[in-house]
Amino acid sequence: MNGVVIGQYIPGTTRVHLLDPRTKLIMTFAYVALVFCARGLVGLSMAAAYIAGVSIQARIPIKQLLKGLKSLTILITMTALMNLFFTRTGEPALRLGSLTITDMGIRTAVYFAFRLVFLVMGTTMLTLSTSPIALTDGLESLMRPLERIRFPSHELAMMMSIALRFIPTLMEETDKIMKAQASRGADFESGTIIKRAKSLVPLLAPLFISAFRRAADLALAMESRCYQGGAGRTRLNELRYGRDDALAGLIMAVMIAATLVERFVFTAWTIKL
Amino acid sequence: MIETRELTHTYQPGSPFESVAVYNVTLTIRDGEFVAFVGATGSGKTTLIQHFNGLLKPTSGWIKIDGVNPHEKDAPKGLMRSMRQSVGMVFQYPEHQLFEETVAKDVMFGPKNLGLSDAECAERAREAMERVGLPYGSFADRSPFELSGGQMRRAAVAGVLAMRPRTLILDEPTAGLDPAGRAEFLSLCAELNREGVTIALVSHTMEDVARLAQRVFVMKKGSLARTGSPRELFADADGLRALGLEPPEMSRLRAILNSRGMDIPADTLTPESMAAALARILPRGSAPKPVEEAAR
Repeated sequence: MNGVVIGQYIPGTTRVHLLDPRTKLIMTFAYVALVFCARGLVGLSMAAAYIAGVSIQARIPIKQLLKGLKSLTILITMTALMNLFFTRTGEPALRLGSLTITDMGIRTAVYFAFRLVFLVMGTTMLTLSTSPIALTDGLESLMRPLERIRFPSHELAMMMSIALRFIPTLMEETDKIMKAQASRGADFESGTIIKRAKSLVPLLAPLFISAFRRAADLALAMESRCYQGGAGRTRLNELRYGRDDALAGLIMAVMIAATLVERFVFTAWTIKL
Repeated sequence: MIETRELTHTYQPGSPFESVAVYNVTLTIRDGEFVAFVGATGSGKTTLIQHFNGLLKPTSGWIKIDGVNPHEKDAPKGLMRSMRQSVGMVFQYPEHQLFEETVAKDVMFGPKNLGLSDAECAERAREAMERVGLPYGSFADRSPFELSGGQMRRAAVAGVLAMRPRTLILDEPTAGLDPAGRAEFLSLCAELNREGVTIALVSHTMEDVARLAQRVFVMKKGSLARTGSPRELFADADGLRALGLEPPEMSRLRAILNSRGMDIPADTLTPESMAAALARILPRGSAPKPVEEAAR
C-alpha cells in the first residue's frame, strides 16, 4: 500500500499538464457535451482526434487511458448488445431465430459503445494530467461566482484539499496499524463475516483516534497561522489563463461547431436516435 | 535465526511510482545476538525489518526465519501465526496501535490471537506489564487512552512482549521518549537479550547502538553498506559520515584526545568506558588539560 497516489495523476510538465486547471475542467465539460451531441462520423472523429491529440501532447499513452475502462467493460458491452438487438428501425441485416438485427441496430450499437469509451477516456485524461490539488483550485475558482448566493466555495475547496491531502496519510497509517496488529497475530482475512467485521475493530479504533488527533492538530496549526476562512484571503499562486489556454479554447470551439453543424445542418449523415 | 539472501523489495513494481526500497541484502542474525540497524532516513531500514516476521514478501531473493521460508508455496497453514509469535515487532510509535478499553485487554490481544486460555492470557498480561513497569494492580483496568505518552508506549510494548517472542524487532522504539524513559527502555532491551531474546534494534542514536549492539548493519539507499562491531564501525569516523551518520560523542572525543597524543583504546564508546580509560591514563591527582575547546 506504500506510496499510494490518489486519483491516477501522472506528474509531468507538458503543455497539457501546465494548462490552467479551469481550462481543463471547462474543456472536459465541453468535451462530455460534445460526445453526447455527436450523432455521426464527424462528431465521433472529433472526439477521437481530441483524445489522440491530448494524449500525444500530454505524453500519456492511450494504454493508460484504457486502464480506466476495465471496470466498465461489462456496462459498455451490455449497452452495445441492447442496442444491437432491440433497435427496430432500419433494414433487417441479419436474422438469428426470432431475433432480427437491423443495419441501424448495428450502427447504433457501435456509436453507443464508442461514445461511452470516449466519455471515460476524456474524463480519465483530466485526472491523469491534473493533480487533485490543482483540480480543487480550479473548481474553487469556477464556483466563486456562486458566492453571491452564499455558496461557500472556498470552504468547500479547502475541505476537498484537506481530504485529498490526508488520504495518503491515512492509507499509510492503516497499513502501519494493520501490520502492527498482524504482528500480534491478528487475522483480517479469514473467518466468517461476523468474525472478519470484529477483526476490524483493532484496525478502525486506532485509525479513528489518529484521524481525530490529526484533525485537532491541523486546526490548531491553521489557526496559529491566522486562518479564518475564505473572506479576504489571497493566494500565493494566482490562476492565470495563458496563450495555451486560449489555444485550447479555440480548438474546443471548432470541434463543438463541427459537431453541431453535423448534427443540425447535415442531418442526412447522422443516425436518428 | 534470521537469514536473508539477496533480498530485494520494490514498492509498486511496474507502475510509474515504482521504487526500490531494499536492494540485494544478504545477512544473518544469529540466535541470542543483539544487532542494530542504522542509516539515514529513507535508507530502507524499516522496509527491511518488516521482512523479518513475514509482513512483507521480498520481490526477489529470500528470507528464512529459523530455517523456514514463510513465503514458500507449500508453507503449512498457521506457519505465519507461529512466525509472528516467535518474532515480535515493535513499530515506530507503537502507542498508535492501542485500541482496547483497558490496558490489560489490549496487552492480551496477542495471546488471545494465539488461542491461549483466558487464565493464561491474564497471566501473560500481568507478567508483560510488570516487565515494562506498569504495575498490573494499578494499570490493568485503566483505559490506555488516559495514560501519559510514555506509559502508552510501555503498554504497547507489553502487548508485544505478551506474545513471548524469541526474537524482538524494534523500530526506533525510543523516539519521542524523555531521557529517563529512554534509559529505562534500553535497559529493558539489554535485560531481555541477557535472557536469550534475539534483538534487532533500528536506531538513529549512535550512543545507544554503541552501548548495546554486538553487531551493526549500516544501510545506505536500500543496500547494506557495512557490517561490523560498533568498535570497528565507529573507529572510521569519515567513512561513517560518508554514509550519512555521525559517530557517537565518545568516539569523537577519543579522536580528539588521541590526536593530542593520548592513547584511548578503540572500544571506548560510552561515557563510562571513557571515564575509566581516562582514569587509567591520567596520573592520580593530576588535573586533566582542558579539552572543551578542542571538542568544540
